Amino acid sequence: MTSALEVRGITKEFGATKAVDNVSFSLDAGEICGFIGPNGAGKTTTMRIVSTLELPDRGDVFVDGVSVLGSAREVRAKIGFMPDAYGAYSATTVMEYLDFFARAHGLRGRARAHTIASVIDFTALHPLATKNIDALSKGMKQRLCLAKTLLHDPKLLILDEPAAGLDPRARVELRELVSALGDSGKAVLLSSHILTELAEVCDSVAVIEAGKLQAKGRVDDMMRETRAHADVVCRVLGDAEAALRTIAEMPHVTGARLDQGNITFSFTSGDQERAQLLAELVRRGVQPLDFAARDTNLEDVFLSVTQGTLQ
Amino acid sequence: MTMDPAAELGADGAPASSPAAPPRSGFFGDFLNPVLVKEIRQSQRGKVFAISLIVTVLLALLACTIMALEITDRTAQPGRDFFAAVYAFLCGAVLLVVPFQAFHAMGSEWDDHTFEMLVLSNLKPRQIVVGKILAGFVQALLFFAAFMPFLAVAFLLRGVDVLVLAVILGLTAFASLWLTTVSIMFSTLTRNRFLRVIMMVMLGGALVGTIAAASGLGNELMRQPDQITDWQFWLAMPQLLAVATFGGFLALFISCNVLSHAEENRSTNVRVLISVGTLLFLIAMAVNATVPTPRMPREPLFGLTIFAMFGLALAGVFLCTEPDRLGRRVAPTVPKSGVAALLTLPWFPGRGRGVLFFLLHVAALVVGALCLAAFTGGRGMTIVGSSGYVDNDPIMNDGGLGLLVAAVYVLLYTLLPIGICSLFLGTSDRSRKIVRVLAILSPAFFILAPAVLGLLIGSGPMRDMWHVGNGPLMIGESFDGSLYDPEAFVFLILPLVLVGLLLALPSVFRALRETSRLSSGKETAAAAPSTEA
Repeated sequence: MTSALEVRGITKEFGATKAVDNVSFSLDAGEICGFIGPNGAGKTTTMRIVSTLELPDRGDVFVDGVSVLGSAREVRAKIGFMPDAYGAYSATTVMEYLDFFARAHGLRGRARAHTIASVIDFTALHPLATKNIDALSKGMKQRLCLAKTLLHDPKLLILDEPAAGLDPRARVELRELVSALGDSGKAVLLSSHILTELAEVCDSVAVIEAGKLQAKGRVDDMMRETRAHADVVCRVLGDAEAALRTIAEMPHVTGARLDQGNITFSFTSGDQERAQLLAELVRRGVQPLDFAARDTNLEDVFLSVTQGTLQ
Repeated sequence: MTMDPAAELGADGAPASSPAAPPRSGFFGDFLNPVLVKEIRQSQRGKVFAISLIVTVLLALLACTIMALEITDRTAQPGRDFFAAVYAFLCGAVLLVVPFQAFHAMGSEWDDHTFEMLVLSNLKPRQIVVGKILAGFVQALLFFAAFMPFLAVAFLLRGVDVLVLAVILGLTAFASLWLTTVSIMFSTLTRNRFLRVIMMVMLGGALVGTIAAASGLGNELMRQPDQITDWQFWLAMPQLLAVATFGGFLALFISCNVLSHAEENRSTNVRVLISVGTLLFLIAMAVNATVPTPRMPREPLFGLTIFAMFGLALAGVFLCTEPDRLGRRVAPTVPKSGVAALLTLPWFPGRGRGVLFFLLHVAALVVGALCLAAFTGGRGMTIVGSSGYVDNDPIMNDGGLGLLVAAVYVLLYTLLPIGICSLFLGTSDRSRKIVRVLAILSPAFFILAPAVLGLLIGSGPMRDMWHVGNGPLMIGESFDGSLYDPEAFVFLILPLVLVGLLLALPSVFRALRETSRLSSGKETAAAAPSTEA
């Protein structure tokens, strides 16, 4: 089956700076992929290349099997790009704005009216349909931009920092919209700095740093991988010093130390091995009151994958 | 959409639940350019159009009222004065406000970050530019409609010829359309706000000058309506309009090319337009040299051809500094037949192909003008007898030599600076821009550098710019068949031209090799790395 998006070894240089360096990854239909990386890592450049707005110096990108280099127009019909700095026309109402872009996408007559109504329903912009765009809040403008992006029913959505500057309620609502889009079979490439939110909505993440793709995989897998090096905190009943010595002797345990009555250590193996460790400690007479690995989140994944390289 | 709209449709196709249906436009409205529809809607709601319409109409009304109060029985044909006042305000609206708004409308696409959204829609750059031009034209028509009652009053007050009025209004509408197109082109040239402000100031100045010129011309035609009935007016006017139309299309193509994707073919349309322009120019010259009595003499024929050649040189600077290789979206369009590929080669993008195109068109102009001078029966202007131009000078003495010398200087000022600068500056985007600027400024260098040298070594003629580097001087001096300083011309200028040609030769060979490979299918489009920008 053809991937919804296949990025194949793209490189983009701006003068002496390699903004994107041999990046490859792919997305399946219905997959929501978080694209994360520090500022200047190459996220926006990659997204702009995927959106046909920039040309890669090397490599190619295929959207639903169509090359951005060979058939940009065909690709544009398949993608919906929501840039971080989206624009809105002055002296235009929400309905006129959507009507213009529907016309620009070649929609006519009843089909246009129907499509506009659909996206307005989906983004819940009903009450604002006759409002001037200039009077909308940032969150509503973001919704409007998303509605505009959906007009031509794209197979791939590229959302560059869609949650930036939104209040918590608007962020939650946007997250729900994105989830619904994924459920409807659209592939979504979504960049954001708010990693906790990405974890809730994304199926997979791609981590980019200094123009290079550091990791790409399903969120669960990557968290599990990170969890293999998890910090474990253990509180025991009785002699903590003795328990510390016992723990330090165990396999996969490193850096065990006593910290305000709690024993903390790094455990460099998986969940199964950690369960075996707990059983072995109990067998050796240690009486654990608490035995918990700190929850791994996307921030841990991000920090473990990236090195803070600047360019 | 794959989302379930879950909305019941009303009679017009819009869901009944929708609080506001999309603006209706009727069957034909669906086929209108979307940018045109958007721009008209925006201008309807915007302040600029409404305020400028009200202000100009009120000013015209005020001027007419004042003039009406001053009309006496002895005022002869007061309609002309009315027309002069009303026409000045009309010119202000359609030749200043409309083009200026078009410039702003294009520029705001960059400033408001909306351009990329347009590009990602189904719209082609041509649709975007044409939509904005048409929106400007519709605004101009609205201004005309608003001023129509004033013009009717001017006509009723006598002194205004209907034919003259129609011609003036037609030319004004054409000028508005042309200025709108050119303003949009200027707006597309840079996304830098500071540069656009500078451009806006310059454009404003030029437009104010145009208003003054148009207003003066309109009044002149109105006061001397006989000019319009003269057949020479109807011979000259289509030619002037053809030149302006050529310029307008060139501006349109440049705008579209600037807005199009870097991998698209951004050169062929301009090349084809230049070829068509060259052909039309030669046809117009042929008409002027055969139809009117007396026929156009040889000197203006050669003189106009020299102007055309320098215009071609300006375009040549851009064509001869394009990236060498074809873009990845252009390469597959090279004809697979070897002969067809070779014949169409100069019309494809690329530096080497640009050099071939440039040489081909310079040759076409020179040969065409010489053939016209030889075969259409035109004569020189040196001896004017009672029956017309009757001298029997050879063509070379009637400006033919000037034409050949001009061709030499056109090549010198174009190919040599491009060749030398490219050697030292490379072929990056930035270098190409620098090379273009240097090449355009090179005639000044060729003229001024020897003058400075003359100042240093105390050579009077060189200091006074009497030297072979001064192309205009050499062309003017050779117009009657005698060449100024022939030794220096033959032993300095011609070898320099040869050097320019030799420097361009490698890119020509590369273009031939690439075209040959592409037409024979040895090189695929995907394999060809793009340098098109």
